[in-house]
Amino acid sequence: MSGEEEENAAELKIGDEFLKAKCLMNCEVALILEHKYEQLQQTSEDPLNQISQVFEKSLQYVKRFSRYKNPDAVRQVREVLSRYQLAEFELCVLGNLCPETAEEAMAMVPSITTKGRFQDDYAIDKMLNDLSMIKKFE
Amino acid sequence: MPRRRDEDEEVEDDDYEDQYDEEEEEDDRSSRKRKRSDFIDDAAEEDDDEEEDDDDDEDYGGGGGGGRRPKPKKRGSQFFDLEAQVDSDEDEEEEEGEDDFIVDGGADIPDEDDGRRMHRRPLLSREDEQEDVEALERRIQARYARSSHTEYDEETTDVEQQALLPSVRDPKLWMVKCAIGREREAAVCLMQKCIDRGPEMQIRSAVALDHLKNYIYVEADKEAHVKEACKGLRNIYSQKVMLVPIREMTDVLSVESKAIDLSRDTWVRMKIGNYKGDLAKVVDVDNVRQRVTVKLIPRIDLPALANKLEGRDVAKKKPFVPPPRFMNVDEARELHIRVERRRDQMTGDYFENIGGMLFKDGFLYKNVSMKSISTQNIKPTFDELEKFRSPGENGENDIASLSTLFANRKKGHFMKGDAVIVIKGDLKNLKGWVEKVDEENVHIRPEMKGLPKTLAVNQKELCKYFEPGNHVKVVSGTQEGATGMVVKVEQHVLIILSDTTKEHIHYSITCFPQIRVFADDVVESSEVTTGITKIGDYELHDLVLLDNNSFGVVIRVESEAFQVLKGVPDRPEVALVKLREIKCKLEKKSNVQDKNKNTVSVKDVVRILEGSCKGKQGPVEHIFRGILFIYDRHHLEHAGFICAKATSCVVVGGSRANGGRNGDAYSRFDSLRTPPRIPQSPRRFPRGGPPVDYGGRHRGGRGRHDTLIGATVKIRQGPDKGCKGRVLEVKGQSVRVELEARMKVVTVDRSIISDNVEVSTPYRDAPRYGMGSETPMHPSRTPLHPYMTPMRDAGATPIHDGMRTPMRDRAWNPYTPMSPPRDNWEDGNPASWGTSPQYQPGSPPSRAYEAPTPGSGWANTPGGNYSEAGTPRDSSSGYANAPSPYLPSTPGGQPMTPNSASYLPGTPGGQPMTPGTGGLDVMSPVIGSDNEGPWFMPDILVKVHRPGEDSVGVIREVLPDGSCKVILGSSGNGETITSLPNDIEIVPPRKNDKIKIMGGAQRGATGKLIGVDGTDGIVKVDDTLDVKILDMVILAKLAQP
Amino acid sequence: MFFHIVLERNMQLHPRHFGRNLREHLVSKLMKDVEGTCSGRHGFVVAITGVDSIGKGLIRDGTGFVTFPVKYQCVVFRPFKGEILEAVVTMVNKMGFFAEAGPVQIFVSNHLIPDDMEFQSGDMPNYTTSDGSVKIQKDSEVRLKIIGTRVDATEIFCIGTIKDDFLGVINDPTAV
Repeated sequence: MSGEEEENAAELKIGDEFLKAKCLMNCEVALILEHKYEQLQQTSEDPLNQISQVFEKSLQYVKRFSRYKNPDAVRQVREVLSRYQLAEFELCVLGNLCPETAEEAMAMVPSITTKGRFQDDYAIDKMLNDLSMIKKFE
Repeated sequence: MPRRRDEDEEVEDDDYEDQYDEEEEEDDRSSRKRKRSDFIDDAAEEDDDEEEDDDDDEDYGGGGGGGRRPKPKKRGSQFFDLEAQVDSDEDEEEEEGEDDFIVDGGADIPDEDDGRRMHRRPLLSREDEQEDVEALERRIQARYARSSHTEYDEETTDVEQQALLPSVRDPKLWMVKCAIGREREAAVCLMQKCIDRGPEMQIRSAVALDHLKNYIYVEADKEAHVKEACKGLRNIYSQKVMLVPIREMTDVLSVESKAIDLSRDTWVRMKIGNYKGDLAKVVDVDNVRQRVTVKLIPRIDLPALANKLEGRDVAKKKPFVPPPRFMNVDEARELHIRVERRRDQMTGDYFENIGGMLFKDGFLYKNVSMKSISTQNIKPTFDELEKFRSPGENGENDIASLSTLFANRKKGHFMKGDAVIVIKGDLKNLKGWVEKVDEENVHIRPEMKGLPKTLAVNQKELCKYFEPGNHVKVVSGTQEGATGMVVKVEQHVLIILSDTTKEHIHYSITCFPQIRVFADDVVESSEVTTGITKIGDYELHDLVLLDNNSFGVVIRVESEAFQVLKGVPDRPEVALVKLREIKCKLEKKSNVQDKNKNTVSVKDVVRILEGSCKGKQGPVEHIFRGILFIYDRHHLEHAGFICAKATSCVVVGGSRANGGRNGDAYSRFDSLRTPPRIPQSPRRFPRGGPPVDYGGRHRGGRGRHDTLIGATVKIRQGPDKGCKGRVLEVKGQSVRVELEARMKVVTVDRSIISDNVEVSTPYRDAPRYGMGSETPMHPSRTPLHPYMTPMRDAGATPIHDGMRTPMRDRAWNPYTPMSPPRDNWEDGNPASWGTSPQYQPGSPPSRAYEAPTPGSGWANTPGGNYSEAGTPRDSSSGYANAPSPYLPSTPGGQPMTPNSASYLPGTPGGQPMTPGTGGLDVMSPVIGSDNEGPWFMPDILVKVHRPGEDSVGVIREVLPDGSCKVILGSSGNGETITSLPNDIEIVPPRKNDKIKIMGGAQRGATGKLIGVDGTDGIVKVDDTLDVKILDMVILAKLAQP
Repeated sequence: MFFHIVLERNMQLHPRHFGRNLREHLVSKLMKDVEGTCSGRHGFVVAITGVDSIGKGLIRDGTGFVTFPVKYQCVVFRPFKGEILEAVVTMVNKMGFFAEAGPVQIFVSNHLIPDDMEFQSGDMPNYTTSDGSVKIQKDSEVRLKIIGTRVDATEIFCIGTIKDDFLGVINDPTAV
């Protein structure tokens, strides 16, 4: 109500519970859900009956919006990004949206400029460059 | 006119006072002649006179704006005095003599300082009857002079004012009856009497109010004093004297304040003329002349104006008022109206002058008397404000003009914690949060750093502040109670996405009324509710019966009324109804029949076939008098509701028996495994009877023989106890029941359902299963009347035979409550016999099934079947000689099958039975005429039931007798056995499996199952690369070589 | 945003399920009960990925049912205000458009669409820039920012904006 304690992802105000929780990038979710789906297919005659609409929609969504398909690449993305002292949430937003420029990255994740993690735009650019390399060699 | 009256009155009063004086002189020898007229005149000004003369104005100016004045405490404070419209007031009169206006305003007040009561006594007790005018003047001069020294505190505080209110110790106010129309006179008489009698009169004052007839007020300590004073006055009836409650005393003399400060940019409304009620904005105020210039949206009938200006005869004035419209100068010129462009001397602005009227930017600038506008409680609506926004005006002005809106704010408008923004003054645009609210000032905690912890800001300079995304609730105005999310903030206007329509719909919401409200009318709300959706007993989306026996669905709930979409099918009609206009809520569940005589009940999905909403579809929410209210989430109007006649809709599906696909599929197979022996009508099987056998069997199909299927039962035990539902399937001891209330399928033990099985209404689900993705209508017809319209049945049989897909069973079963289905045919459906002949091998394969012709139902298919079948026999015999259908012996394979058509006049479907034949034929040629596994084909993966074990195998060959040679092992490398069809079960394919199509036009084709949608499989056919939607049951998994 | 979190739930089980397969029953019931649900706090439960622990069962008086506290890991989808994500447009109308990001539905009001994009009605209603270079229609992929969320019993509904830098269409189905 006071407008100050309100949730705002741009300022990384997502509540303690989620701030500490493990965030998942779309590509990671895709791997998890596909795996689960396959499992279901094996155990049940009609997996379609078993899965919820939420599952189905999520699976469709993450498949459509996964930047990286290859499990190795997915792992690398997390690895690369985790070098930059990013919060889980920031990491995943970057991994999901793959901004191309520092400016874009700052627009997508305004909180990355805080805490002095990046001295300048070049530092951000470097990180983005690392990301794009993974994509290139996927 | 009013002016005249004033003067008249004045004169009259004078006269009569003179008279009075004379009388009294006679009595009392009072020689004093006072200027009563002034005072009386003053009193006469009480009402809203259109024109006031200048000295009156001065009067007001001197005395201050009109307002309230509690008589008992008069002159208690500047406030009261300021506002006072002097009424008859003897004391004052006497004391003040000629200068009463002035004294009234200023001189009196200091007097008050000496003691409120004091001033009266001296007056009354003074022995100045003989005092001459000069002496009086001197006295007044003296007092006046004295008062001028006294600085009166301009800002009287509330507390001080409060202290002035009457208390129990003050004199009371009495209401005395007097002759109608003589109120003034009565008061004046009393006054005169006081003057004459002096102190022996114990009343303090007498008041006549212009708006109150038949009564005057008298101020006195005791009732007896009043009676005493009134004694002998013929106009006053003092028998009945009523005490005015202390709390109402101030109200008696409160006068609605007339003069508020009009300032530029104030919103006002016109009171008279063509523009009556219109919103106007003050652009200039002339306080001296009591006139204002306002800006209006002109209501001008240009052609009429043109006529008038040109001196042409203007037709008798039409009674209508032209709608408000901005003046278009070009348009005016086209009508040869002279438009002059002039520069205003004062402001330097240019105006267009048309026929003496001034226009600027399309607005009319009109100079009017202050009396002709109302300034109180002006709440412009959005539309009005919107219209007033001309291109030249930016938001700044808007905000400024808002301040007048704020004048109407209620107390407690701001609350602690509210986010606010400063809109005026030095701190403009500063955001903050409310910490504390004083009377006028709001203490805010500013957002910006470096400022004091709290700032006091006048509440008029504040506006609530919202950001997009806030969830808010509207707390006043027409949208009161609505909640929603702020989508946009435009100055002080919020655009809110209302939650209301979202309610009730589970998934997608397509239409949100976007409502606009003043930021002022909104509070932030974390309420997760969806606003008001209910008034009294009626809720959003309820079906209600209205006063005039019309009915409709509540599509919106406003603060005091409902919007109801009426049950008029042709065009959407929305009525705004008040609570009391609603008779009752209609909750009765009823069923109706759709265009195809299919039963429609609530929650069924229907498609509209006719009318303006043709093509729309959605679940039925309400049914009443043959009218359906359909909810279509893609429908943007009327909260998504569409009203249509049941007869212009068709059922698309029904409540879906979900989750049962597997079971169902298996049960279908089950039915094949254990074919019912139905010997009782051997004559039907002239050819060894397989076809009919199918028919019978398939009818039996899922839960065949079970009268329970399709029946409505009640569950007697368990968690769903008491629920009613329709039996979908019976498997041994367990019964699958679709619960009506919960839209859910449960499996219960047969013993716990109530036995009073009633034959249910036709089961709507069937269609879906029956035809898969093919025409929904098509099956829907047939199932309906298995008994009544023989031809349907007849038609039916063949059809599903033709499809020879187990699913047809489902389609049929529910409708055959009697176990041996064939009996039905026999008895009821002569036509059914006709079908048999067509079960001939060699007739062309199932064309009929190939082309689902939506909407065409049976009629079409058969046609195609016939012609394409090219079996002359069929066509000729079937149609030409319509042999008696009652010859049961003939049917089998007889060319001259009785044609149902002949027996079923009026059945739109034509020859429903015929089509089926094709279907039957399909199987025969391929697999041989025999039975069970007609649809088994080589190379498909099957499960073989063998004593002791079930194993997977691949059909190698289908023998003429229907049994199959199966190679065991999933890849077909094991032992070869010969199995009866009953022991073979097809392995249903999964997504991405290679499949073989076992029925339908594509029979034999292979393909890939690329998707499964319920009971439908999406198949990419190998040869043609076509994508087909086929029922899963006719798909078999292809063995991988 | 998707999260992998651990949640806890008390599961009630009928005594008939007691036996060797108790755990299986519990897990399958858990999946049935939990997957696909939505709560304001945790968002949509997309999938259960594992069961951490099943506590000791507590027999409920009178019923014979036993309550087991079950800790499980699951993937949830929880939208946040201020979050930027990509979504697929599902419907366009004159009020704005609806988009879906996984299970969540997001409405972007026309007030939150850049002013230079105008609504075009027709078979395929869309929002198009005056030069026609950018078009939002059904199936377009857009990047948007969530500016408000509202929680119902069964779903979370969001409103979003594309009126900001680096937001808007990322893929136009017609262009492909």
